Parts: sequence; C-alpha cells; structure tokens
Amino acid sequence: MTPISILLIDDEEAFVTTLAERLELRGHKSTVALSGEEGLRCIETARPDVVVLDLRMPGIGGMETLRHIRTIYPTLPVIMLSGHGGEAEIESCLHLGACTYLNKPADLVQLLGAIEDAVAHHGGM
Amino acid sequence: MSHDPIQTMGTLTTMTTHELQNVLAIIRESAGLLGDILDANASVRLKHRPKMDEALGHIATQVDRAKKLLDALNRMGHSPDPDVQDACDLALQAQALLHLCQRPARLKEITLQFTPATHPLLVQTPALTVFTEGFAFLRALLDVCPSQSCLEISLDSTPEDHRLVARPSSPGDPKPVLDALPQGRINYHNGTFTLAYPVRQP
Repeated sequence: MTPISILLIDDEEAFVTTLAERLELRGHKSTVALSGEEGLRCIETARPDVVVLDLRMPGIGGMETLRHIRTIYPTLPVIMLSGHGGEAEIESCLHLGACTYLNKPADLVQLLGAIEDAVAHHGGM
Repeated sequence: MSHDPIQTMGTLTTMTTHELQNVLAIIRESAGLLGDILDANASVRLKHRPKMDEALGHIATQVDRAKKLLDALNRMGHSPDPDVQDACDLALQAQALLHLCQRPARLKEITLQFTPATHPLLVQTPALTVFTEGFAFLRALLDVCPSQSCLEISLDSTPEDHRLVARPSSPGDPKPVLDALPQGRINYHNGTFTLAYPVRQP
C-alpha cells in the first residue's frame, strides 16, 4: 500500500488528532489543521494528496475553505466530513467540486475507502 | 433572521445534532484507537483482554445506534428548510420517522418492521408536512396496535402518488387511525392503511 499524505481540517481537536493517529497507524501521513485558514496555509507545506474537510468551523468555514482550495489547487481532491448539512449544503459542496460528502461519525473503513478512491481518481496538487 | 417558531426549533435541533455528531465521532475514534493499540499488541497477554474487546464492541454498537437516531433527528430538524418547502423525498422522511418511532414501539412491545425504498420517492409536498402527518399516522397506529403485535411499514407508488403503507398484524377498529388526520388523508382497505402524497412533477 502506498502511503497517502492526508490533510485533516477540523476544529474538533480531540477528534482530528485521534483520527490522525489511527491513519498513521495504517501507514499514512497525516497533518492536522484546526481551522480553514490554518488548513490553507498547511497545503503549501504539507503538500497533501487529499484533504478531509469539516463543513462547520469558526473563521472562514468549510464551504469557503473548499472554494479557496478549488481556486488555488483545482486538482487537489477534497472529501467533506461533517455532521449532517442540509441537502442544499451537501449539493453545494459537491457542486463546488468536493469528491464526496461523509457524515460524522464515519466508519474508518468507509473514510479510508473514500480517501483511496479520491487519490486514485482525482489529480493531486 | 427568521423568528418562525418551527424554523427556530429546526435550527436549534440541527445545531445540536451537529454538535452531538462531533461527540460521537470523538467517542468512535477514541474507542477505535484503543482497539488499534490492543491489536498492535496482540502478542502481549492481557488478563482482561476479552472484557476490553467486549466493551469496545458495545461502544461501537451504541455509537451506530446513536448515529441512526441523530441522523433521523437531523432530518426532522432540516424539515422546515427552504429547499424542501415545495417538495421532498418521502423515502428519506419515512426512514427518519421510523427510526424515531422505534422507541415508542418498543415501550408498547410492538415490533415495527420497515421496508425502506430502494430509490428516492419525490413528492410535491413540504418535508415538514410529510414529517408531521407521518408522525401522527404512526403514533395513531402504535396507539391502537395491541402489545406483542407487529406493524409492517413500507412504501408504495402509483403513477400519481407515493404512499406510506401500514399493515398491522391486528388491525382492529380503523377509526382512531383514520381520525388522526383530516378526513380522507388516510385510507383503509382490507387491513391496510395508506397515506399518499402526489408525485413531484418534473
């Protein structure tokens, strides 16, 4: 299995750091950012293969972060991982170019499947 | 900013379910990490390892259970949203309603069997109406069904409408169920109740 570099952007620190550890245990490289702004800064330094992004966060929020990523890094795959948005929000994310939208709490196998699928079928940076 | 009471309740519900989903996500990942660590140290003999595995299994099962309830509650909270004011998916609304009605069914020892739809069933009715009418329909059915009976719920379609179909194993007097909504909304024939909504026109 080729290790994947994953950028996790979520303001729930306990969640995102634990998830990062579990991904590392499976041989992947995880970088954690606790806000959209920090996430955007991390993309340049971490050069991730894929971004896993929460929708509702303080600051610029997931939708705005996704918009920035699409503008600056149009081929970088983004997976939305959030509590339920309304149908309109989910549609907006997909319309903006998110690969998929997963609901929290997502099963790790399901998330890993989405990550591998995103990396296999979408570009990268 | 809307001051409509129902929209306010919906917003508060979705805000809270979102927060609770984060709580569940932390519980799931923390339990998952403990499981990963135990697996990585499988060669180390731990006296209470079976109990630990059992406890982690309970956590995973209960997180799944809570997730289904939160998903249903979240759908209910999103029912007043503007994008589902004119039309909605009866299949999703029914699934959420059935999850929320499992508890009252269990309290009356009624087995609630639901056959979900395999595809969207779009109806020309606001989501909130489907949710409130569907709940009144199911609550009336649970009220009249005797303890130890079974209530089968499914979805059906004609070219004109999509329907919530209920078949109690002991139908009894249909009148209290028919009276749960304004006359003519619920139909009854041969032990089967139906609540129909017009198909959304393209």
